[in-house]
Amino acid sequence: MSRQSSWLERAASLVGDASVWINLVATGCAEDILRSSPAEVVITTTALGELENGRAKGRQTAAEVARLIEVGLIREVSLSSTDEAVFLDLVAGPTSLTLDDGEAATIAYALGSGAGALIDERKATDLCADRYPALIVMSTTDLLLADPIVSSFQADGLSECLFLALTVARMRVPDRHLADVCELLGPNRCRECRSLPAAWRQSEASRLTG
Amino acid sequence: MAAVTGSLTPEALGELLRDARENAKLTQAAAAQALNVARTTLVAIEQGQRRARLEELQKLAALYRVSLNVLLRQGSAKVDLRPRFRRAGEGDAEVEEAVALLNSLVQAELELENLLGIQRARNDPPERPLLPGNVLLQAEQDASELRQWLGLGMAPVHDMVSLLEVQLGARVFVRQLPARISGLYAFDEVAGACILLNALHPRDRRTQTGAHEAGHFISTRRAPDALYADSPEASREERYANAFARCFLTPARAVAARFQDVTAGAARLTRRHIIILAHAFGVSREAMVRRLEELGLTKSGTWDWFKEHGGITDEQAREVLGDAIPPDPAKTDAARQVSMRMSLLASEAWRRGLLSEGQLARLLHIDRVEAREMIDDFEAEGAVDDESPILLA
Repeated sequence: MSRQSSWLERAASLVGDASVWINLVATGCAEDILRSSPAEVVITTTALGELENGRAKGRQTAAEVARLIEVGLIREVSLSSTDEAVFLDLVAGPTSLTLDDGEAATIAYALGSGAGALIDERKATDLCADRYPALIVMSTTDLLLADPIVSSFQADGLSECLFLALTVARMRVPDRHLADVCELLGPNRCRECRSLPAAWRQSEASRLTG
Repeated sequence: MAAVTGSLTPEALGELLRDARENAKLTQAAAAQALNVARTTLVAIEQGQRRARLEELQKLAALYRVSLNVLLRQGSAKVDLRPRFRRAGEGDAEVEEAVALLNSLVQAELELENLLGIQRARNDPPERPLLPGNVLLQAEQDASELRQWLGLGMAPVHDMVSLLEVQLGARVFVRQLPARISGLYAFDEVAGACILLNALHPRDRRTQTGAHEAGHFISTRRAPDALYADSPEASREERYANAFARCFLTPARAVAARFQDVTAGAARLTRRHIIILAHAFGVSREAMVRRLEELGLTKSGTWDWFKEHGGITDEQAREVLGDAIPPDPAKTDAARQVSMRMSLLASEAWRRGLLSEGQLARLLHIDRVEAREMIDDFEAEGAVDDESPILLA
C-alpha cells in the first residue's frame, strides 16, 4: 500500500464537508480518527445544518458530530465577512458552475482560513482544482489512508472502517486509491461495496482477464 | 459587505426572497422577527432597496427551508405553480402539500432537462374554451375532436398516462398522495401541461382522473385544477371536465357497439358483462355502468342496484379476466423514492459533473446517502457501461 505521509502532518487544520462527516461517522470510529489526526478538524455551521436535516430520517451523523463537538474534537466555525465573496461566487451563477451551500461554505472557509478542505464530491473537487489550484482538497479516503491514521489502527481496524464507510454511507473512493482500498478490503468484501466501480468489485483475476 | 454576484439585481433578489417567504407561509413580521430587524427593513430588502448581508441571507434561506444555491443559481427552473393554486382559492392542507410536490417535481425535471440539454417535445392540442350553452354537449364534441386529432378513432385508451405524455406532451407524475386526492393539473408557458396523479388509486381510476385533467387542458388551460373528495363539482368547468373524461374514454358509438357485441343473446345485464366492458375501455366498473345508464343502454339506477346487491368485486373481476388484468408499473415506480425517469436524469447530470451530490440531494428532496444509493443503482442497472453502443444523435 502506498503511504500517505506528508499532507496531514503539514495541514494546520482541516474543514470537513457534510459528505465527509457522513463517511467518518459511518466508520464507527470517528472519535479515534479525530484523536489520531495531528490537524484540528472543523465543520462550518452551514454543513452542520445540512447534517441536522438528516435527523428527521433517522440518520445518526448529526448526533455524533454534535457529541464530538461537545467533547472538543471538532470545532464549529462560521464564515467571516471576508469569506462572503467566495461563498456567494460558489452558490450564485449557472447551475453547472455552482455548489450547494454546505459544499460552498466548506471551500470558502478553507480558502479564508488557510485550512485544507475535506470533500468527497467530484464536482466540488474539480471546481476547486480549476478555480483555486493552491487549495488543498482531500477526501475521506485520503484521511483514512494518511500515515498518522493508519498507524493508529490495529490489525484489521482500517479495513473494517473502510468497509463500513463504503457499505453504510456509500463512500466514493478517488481512482488513485482504488487499488489500495481493494487490497485492504480483500476480494470478498470488495464485492459487497456497491459504491466501488463495478470493475473493482470483481476479483483481480476476472478483472485482468476482462 | 459583499454584494450578491452574478446578474441578479437587488430587486430580483428581493423578489426571490419574497416568493420564498410566501411559499414558506411566513408573514413579513415573522421573517423580520427571526432576522431581528424591523419589518420595514425586511420590506426594503424584498423591494431591493437594501442589500441583505450574507448572514441575513443565510438566516432567511434557513427560515424559508431553501438553500441559497437554489435561490441564487441561474438556469435553475423558476417555474412556480403554487401561486396559481393559491389565487384559485385552494386552501385544503393536503391539496397544498400535493401542489408543493407537483411543483418540486416539475422544477426538478425542468432543471435536469435544461442541464442535460434535453428539448422536450410539446404537442399542445387545440384549445377549446367553454362556450355558452350546454357544456356536456361541448365536452362530447371536443372529446371526439381530440380523438380524431390524435388519430384514435373509436379505439379504447389503454394507457392514458402515456397518451398524455407522449402524444400531448404533458408532464405527468404518478406519486403516492392522500387517498382523497385524485389529481392536479396546472399549465405553465415554459413547462407546459403538468399533471400529478395518485399512485395509490387503482389504474382505472387514475385513467379517469387523467382524462378529466385532459379536459381542463383542452378547455380551461390556464386555470389550475385540484380533483379531490369534497372538491367543488357544480361549476361548469368541472361538469365539462367530468363529461369530457367520460366521452373521451368511452365514446358513445364505441360503447354501444361493444355493448351489443358483449351482451348478444343475453336477457339480463350481468356482472360478467360489466367486467368485460369496463376492462375493454380501461375504466372502472362504476364508470362503465354509469356511462351505460347515460347512453340509455341500461336502466337508470343500475349501478345503485348492483351496489345494494354486493357490488362488483375485484375478486369477481379476477375470476372473469384472469391473466388479462394488466400490470401496473406506475404503482411500482411510485413506491420508489425518486421515479425511474427522474433517477436517470439526475444520475446522468451527476455523472457529467453538472450537479454536485449536495445539489442533487436537495433537488430531489432526498439525503446524501439516498442520493449515493440512487447513483449506485443507476450504475448497477447498466445505465453506465463504456462498452454499450453509442446512441445515434
